[in-house]
Amino acid sequence: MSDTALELRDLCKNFGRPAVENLNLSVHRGELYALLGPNGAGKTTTLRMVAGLISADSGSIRILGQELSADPALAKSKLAYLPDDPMLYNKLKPFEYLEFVAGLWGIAADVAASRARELLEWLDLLQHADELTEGFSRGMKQKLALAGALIHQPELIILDEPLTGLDAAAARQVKDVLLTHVKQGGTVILTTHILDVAERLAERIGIIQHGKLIAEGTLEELRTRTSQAAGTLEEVFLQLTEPA
Amino acid sequence: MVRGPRLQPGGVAWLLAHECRLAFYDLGESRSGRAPARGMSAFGKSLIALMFISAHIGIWLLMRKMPVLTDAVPPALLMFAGAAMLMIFSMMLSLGLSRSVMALFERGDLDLLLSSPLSSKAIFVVKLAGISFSVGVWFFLLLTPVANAGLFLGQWYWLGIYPVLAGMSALAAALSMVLTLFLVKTIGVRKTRTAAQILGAVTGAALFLVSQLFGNLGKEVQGRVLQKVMPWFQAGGIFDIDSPVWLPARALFGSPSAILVFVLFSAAICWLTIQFTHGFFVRGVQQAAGNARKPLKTGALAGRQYAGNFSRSLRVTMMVKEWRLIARDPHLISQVLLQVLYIAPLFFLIFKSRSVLPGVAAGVVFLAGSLAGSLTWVIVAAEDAPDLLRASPVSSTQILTGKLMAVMLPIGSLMAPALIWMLLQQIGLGLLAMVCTASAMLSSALIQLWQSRPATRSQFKKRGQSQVLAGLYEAFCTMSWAACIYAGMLYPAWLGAPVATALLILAAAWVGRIERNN
Repeated sequence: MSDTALELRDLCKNFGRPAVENLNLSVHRGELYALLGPNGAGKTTTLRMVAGLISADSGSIRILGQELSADPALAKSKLAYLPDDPMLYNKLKPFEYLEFVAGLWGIAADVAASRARELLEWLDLLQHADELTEGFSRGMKQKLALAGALIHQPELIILDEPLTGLDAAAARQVKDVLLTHVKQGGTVILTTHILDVAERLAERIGIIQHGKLIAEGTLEELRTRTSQAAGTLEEVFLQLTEPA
Repeated sequence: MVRGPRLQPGGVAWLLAHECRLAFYDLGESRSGRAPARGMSAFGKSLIALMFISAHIGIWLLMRKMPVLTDAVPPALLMFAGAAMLMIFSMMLSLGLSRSVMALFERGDLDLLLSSPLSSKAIFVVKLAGISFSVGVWFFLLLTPVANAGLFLGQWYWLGIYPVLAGMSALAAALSMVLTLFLVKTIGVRKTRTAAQILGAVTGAALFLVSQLFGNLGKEVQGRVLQKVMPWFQAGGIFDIDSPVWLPARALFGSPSAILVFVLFSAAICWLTIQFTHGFFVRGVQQAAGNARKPLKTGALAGRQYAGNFSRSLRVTMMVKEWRLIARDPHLISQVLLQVLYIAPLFFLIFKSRSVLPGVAAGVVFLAGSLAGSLTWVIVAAEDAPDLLRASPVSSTQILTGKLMAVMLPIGSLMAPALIWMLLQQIGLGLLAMVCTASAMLSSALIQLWQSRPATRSQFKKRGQSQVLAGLYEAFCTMSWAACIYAGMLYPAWLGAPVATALLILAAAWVGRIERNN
């Protein structure tokens, strides 16, 4: 079994101009990895390619040892992707949504039923189980999408700006969910503009700019690289990404 | 860029100008899946201009040969015009109900406006004017060529069309808003969304349905009804030619006093609506925001919640999801219901005479094809979470199969009674109708699958603007399958012609298909 949860090799994507350029990146199993970068750096494009939503122009994506292009269904079955705008149906209720997601991932009925209840309870959504999602707050929607991502117990969770617009309590819950997932041996890759979150949660941090990985390592390693022994991630990040 | 006169910011005129600008930008909204655009495309504008000019020329040529009204308008013409106006007004009211629901519940900029220092009355006036404009604009385009051509021919009385249409639009907007707010007050926000949309659909189709129903009553019953009703329209009857009921029709034919009375009446209704309902309009909006969520269920009640049915197969899960989404979308339901209502009278004909069966069968085929096209658009193009489907390990073939079944099953069930009845009456026709119905449904679904671009459900009504070619393919393919019925029953040797046409259209749609990932 591969020790690498995600491996990107020479990944390229062009939208008229290069969005991702020869990106090489490895994320280990059981790791919480933060992919940071300024707006338009190519973070979301990278994550969408990993989730199989857009195809790469060239390069390879290996998910838990499985080449994505060789067997997309197998690779996707081990993965959960959560974009910043939750992929929900406004006119469905939480259980109905989870019923559909469980169906897509082919989860056994009894497992799915108990897991759905467990997740909704854990995320404080059970009391809203009879409501349509359209009336949910942003935090509730994000939590329901997270429940959808977790229902098939993915080994790798990829989240794009998961904490944007969440209140303190909801943000705390989402962070707890991610840390629990990592503690149980899962892998999490997230992008965020809230650098404090990355600083506190991530074991390793990758910084991407103009579609290229410009720095990677633990916070300590990044501090050493920028000669900021006591610098915060924000200071390190700004130094690394400031225009030359 | 040429700028118009600067309007006082915050005033009704300024807000109205802003609303008009947004309405203009909105015309390009449906071009989903392409580069973002504002306003109607140059092609769209040219097409409308061309049609408008052609209508002027055509109507001018027609009116040249018509007798000029020198004396009083003949009673029969007045009554005919009155009936036509009633029909137009019912359509305006239908559209107005739909627009009022949108103004109240799909609030867009209302939060911004209501949180600004603008008076709620000014906001309500502008929203009402917006509704009035949107219900009247197409009728203006359709009927003003008559007024303009009349002017060129020296028949000035046709200019009455302008104030009458303006008055009717304003009246329809005011009544539909009052009706919507009344529904909010009596049955609550949640039910109003559905009730108003369905009421709108039924209102729009009501006169058509009544006329169809009358046509199917049978000669004896028709005679009895006419015997009872006709005296109402004769001298001394409640609807005789001097009745105020015909005042709008008199205004249409340019009677200055009738125009004045009708316009003043419309303005008075609008003024009363604004005076007495603008406060409730604001409260209705707030209620809509507050009622977006049901109150929490706690304790024993919480235990009775739906806890999911996880034992269904993927295909069934997919179908159930699609049906739930459609069933919970009142706007969509009303639109589909409208399609059904307009063709429903055909079903009455089945029981009337065997000789009309081929016509009914063709109608069934057309209805099935149209409904399949609409539902496929909703289910495939307007998928709410395409990324969720793409990110899942399920193949796109499995997803599309489930979606197509979600389209076919309900329409098939709706058509089944009529098809079975036909089969029992005339086995050959019944079998042909079944094959053609299935083919029309599948063809429309495939055309939408190949041609429709990603969109949102709210664009359902405007989908024709964004995919003209798909609409034409669907219409002609469905008509070809419907024509098969006639060919098969009357000219069997020619049956191959409509079948070949339908298949050619399908092939053209497939060749020009767009790439789809879900």
